Amino acid sequence: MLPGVVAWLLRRVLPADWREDIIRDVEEAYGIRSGTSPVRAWLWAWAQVPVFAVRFIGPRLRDLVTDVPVTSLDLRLAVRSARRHWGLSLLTIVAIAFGIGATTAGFGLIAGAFFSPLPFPGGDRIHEVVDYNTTRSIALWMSGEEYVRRRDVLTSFEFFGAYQSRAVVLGTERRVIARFITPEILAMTETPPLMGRLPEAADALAGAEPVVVLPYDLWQSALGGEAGVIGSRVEIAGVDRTVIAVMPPDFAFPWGYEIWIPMDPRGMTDRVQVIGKLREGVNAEAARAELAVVARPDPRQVQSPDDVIRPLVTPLNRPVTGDAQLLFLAAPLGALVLLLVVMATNVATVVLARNAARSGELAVRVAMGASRRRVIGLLVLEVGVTVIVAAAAGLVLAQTGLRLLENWITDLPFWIDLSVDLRVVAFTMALAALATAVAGLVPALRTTKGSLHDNLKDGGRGTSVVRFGRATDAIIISELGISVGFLAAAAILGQSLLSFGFARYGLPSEETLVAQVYFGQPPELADPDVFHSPEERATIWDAFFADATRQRARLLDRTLELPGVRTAAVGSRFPGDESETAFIEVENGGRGSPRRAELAAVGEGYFELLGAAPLQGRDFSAAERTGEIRVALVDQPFIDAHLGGGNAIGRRIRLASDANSGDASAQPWLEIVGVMPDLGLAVGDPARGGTVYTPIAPTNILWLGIRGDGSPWRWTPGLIEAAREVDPAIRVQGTQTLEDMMMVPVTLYRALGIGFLVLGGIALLLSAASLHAVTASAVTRRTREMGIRRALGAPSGTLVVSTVRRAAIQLGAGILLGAGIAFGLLQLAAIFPWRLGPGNPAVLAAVPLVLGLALLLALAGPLARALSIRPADALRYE
Amino acid sequence: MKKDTLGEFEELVMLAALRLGDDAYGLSITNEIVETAERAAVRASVYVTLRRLERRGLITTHRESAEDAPNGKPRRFVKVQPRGLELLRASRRSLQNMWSGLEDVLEAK
Repeated sequence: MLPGVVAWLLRRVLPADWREDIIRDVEEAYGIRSGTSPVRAWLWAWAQVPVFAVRFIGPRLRDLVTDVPVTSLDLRLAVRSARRHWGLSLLTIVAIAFGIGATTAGFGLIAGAFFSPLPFPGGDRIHEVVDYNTTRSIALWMSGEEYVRRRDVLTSFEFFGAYQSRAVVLGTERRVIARFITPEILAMTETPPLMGRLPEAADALAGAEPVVVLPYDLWQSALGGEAGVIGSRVEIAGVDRTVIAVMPPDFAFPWGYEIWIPMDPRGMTDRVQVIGKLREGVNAEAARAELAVVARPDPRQVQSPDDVIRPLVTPLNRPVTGDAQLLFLAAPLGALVLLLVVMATNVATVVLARNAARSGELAVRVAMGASRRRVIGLLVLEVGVTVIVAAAAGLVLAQTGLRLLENWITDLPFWIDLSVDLRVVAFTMALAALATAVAGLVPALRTTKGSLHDNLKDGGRGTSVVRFGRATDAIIISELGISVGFLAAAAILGQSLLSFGFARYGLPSEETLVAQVYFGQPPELADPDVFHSPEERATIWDAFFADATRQRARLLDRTLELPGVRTAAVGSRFPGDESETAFIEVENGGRGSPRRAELAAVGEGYFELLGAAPLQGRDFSAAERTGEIRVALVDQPFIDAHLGGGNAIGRRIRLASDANSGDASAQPWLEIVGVMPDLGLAVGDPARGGTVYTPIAPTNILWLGIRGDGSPWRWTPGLIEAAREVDPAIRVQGTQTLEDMMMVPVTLYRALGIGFLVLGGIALLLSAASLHAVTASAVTRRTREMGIRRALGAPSGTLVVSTVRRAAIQLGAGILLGAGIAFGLLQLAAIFPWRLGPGNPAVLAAVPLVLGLALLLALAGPLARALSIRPADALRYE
Repeated sequence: MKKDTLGEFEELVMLAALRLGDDAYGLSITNEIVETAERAAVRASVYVTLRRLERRGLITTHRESAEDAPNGKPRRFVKVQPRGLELLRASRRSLQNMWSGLEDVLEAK
């Protein structure tokens, strides 16, 4: 079913004779799209509103407005009028400039981050290739062997390269990121080196002379830009390597400025990342179809027989997969456009008040032969000239903001260009047109409604074309409603985002070091050409996992012996790491259809490491940590989301790994034995369904956490050494403090939160200013009426009460409407992957209070003036 | 008749309607243009064109009965009228005349 608001809006723009037929067809198309992706269908449905509006209303408006011959005299009149009403012009410029500036910056950010082309010949054909576990929503990497097997058989790709990244030491102390690459990686950029030659397959073979390719900057900074650098040797990670090429300035691939070391993919024991360049004429879908046939998913990463693994081929510069990311882009932009509409609405109300004050002048124009069209043209032009200034200011604001952002984020991918380009300017112009339509055209249409000839007579009596009765009430209430609604939603979103973070979980994040430990894979399976039956493979893996489990215990023991270490534990993940979820089935009911929860498999001491103790029940016993998993721990958000509150101990749940059906019937029941505090693992969970902990099963990859006294960094060498002593094949990677691990999502969300609050604050002040203007104008226009009423004996108190009562009703109705709008906006925001807090009552109360105060102040001055005027003067008042 | 020729998109819409026969309505016409002509067709443009063609008398439209409609929501079917067919034929003739004799130029690589 088409979203109700979309259908309503479409009904407003479609012609009556075809209205229901078109809506029926749009509904049918929406139904078809919903079957594949509900979120995309929803976005598509909303996009239909402007598309149909442009096609059906556009020509009518164009006829109405553009037939007006705009002369230089009109332009001069418009500029003069803008100068005469300088207060209004200033308000328009400030409001629209902020609205356009914020929206343009948002668009520039999205356009730059996701639609900047790769600066290479055929750059649009360069794609990232990953195996994607659609059941668990995790992107997998590929093994070196699997990469080689695919490279040798795939025909869709002109180049199919692999790389790994590692920090290495250059010389004796400088740390640089090294990309260990296959030759195809640099070859696919079709960029010749500044000097020297690109690596070839022979450079990567065992026994070949170690070589390296340097970026321009490093050649300049570390080697002083020596001309004879080619053939010279540099020490990298203790190995002397011959420099075979220096790449041109600004060249970086695949992610940043680093050194490139050729490597045989078969020697890449760890997993590799793969980038391919499609052959000309082959699209990503065709390549994906070929990969689906060729790919053999890495068995290490298939965690359950129900896991569905699909290859994905996505443009390297546009890593947007799935609906969540799409929403993450579209929704903030939608909110910013809404902000602009709020700003323009504020301006529109003041423009309407000004137009009303000029009804006499407009009527004279009509009397002298001006058509309605011409009057509308003039009124729109007057707003248009200020909007043009505002748009230019907005563009400068956006450009400045983007520049600041670009300098602030230092490790942006090299192709991302956040400068204002033609696309951004075109977008700004579209916004300016929208602002002019809302702030100029709507009031102009409203002002000129009805017979302007009749208004000539009214104008002579000092009354208005726009009657400040119900129309003003409606305008003020709508404006209050939109402002209160938008601002309350912005405040709640902003505060929720600001509170996003791990501070409230009280984790010892600065004292804890985490590292990923990879135990390798069974040597028996290393040769892809040797066939093993599934049963054989299972036996080999079981033996390997048993070994890895013993090694894990030894590694933990060794880690605990490191000086200063007080506690260490393993887990499948720590707070801040990528989300892993499953559908939950609750025995004997639970609530409604299956919902997701976060999963974490934890080893002994995991909770102690994070400073957490059971709130109810107990941690896993030693017996429960071995053998088949039959127990689970949950946290309070899980109990609220899945068990409807109440006591969780003793209840049983099942975890379904099939994302599509949520069917867990084949899985064993797990008894809940304890309730843990919320550790923030579910912070990024779209379903906000809490967390389930299970004992960690035998695995060959996990995270190890260490906590103790002093800086956690000092344990890094000891940890690597301990792993080497247990088994040289064990790899320790991704070493970082827990604080760092949690920092990336926190920074992003906080920046968004601050953005929402700042924009909300600006919108609030502007709303207050325009509300003040329009109310003051309305009361001023009642001066004559009040004077007459006083002359007829009405006491001042009655007049004050009647005026204030009206304002109070407006305020009350506006707040009610705003609450509805805020509720609607927050329903939309609920699809975001973060939790919404209740909002700080003080901030929420500030919105109607500030607007109410503006309303009262607007009443006070004109009311006092109206009441102090003498009845005889009031009769003459115009 | 103010106009006695067809625009390119009008032609596509009418040809799609003819190809679809009794199953020609807004949505199916849009899909037919996308799939057969391999052209991007903005849905709104199709309806604007259908309205215009109807006003010009080149097509007629009728709503199916509610009983026949899927989900009880009747579709508005399109039928090309003789005058529309005539203009399509004229358009094809003009194009064929323009194409003839250019085979060597257009088919040479």
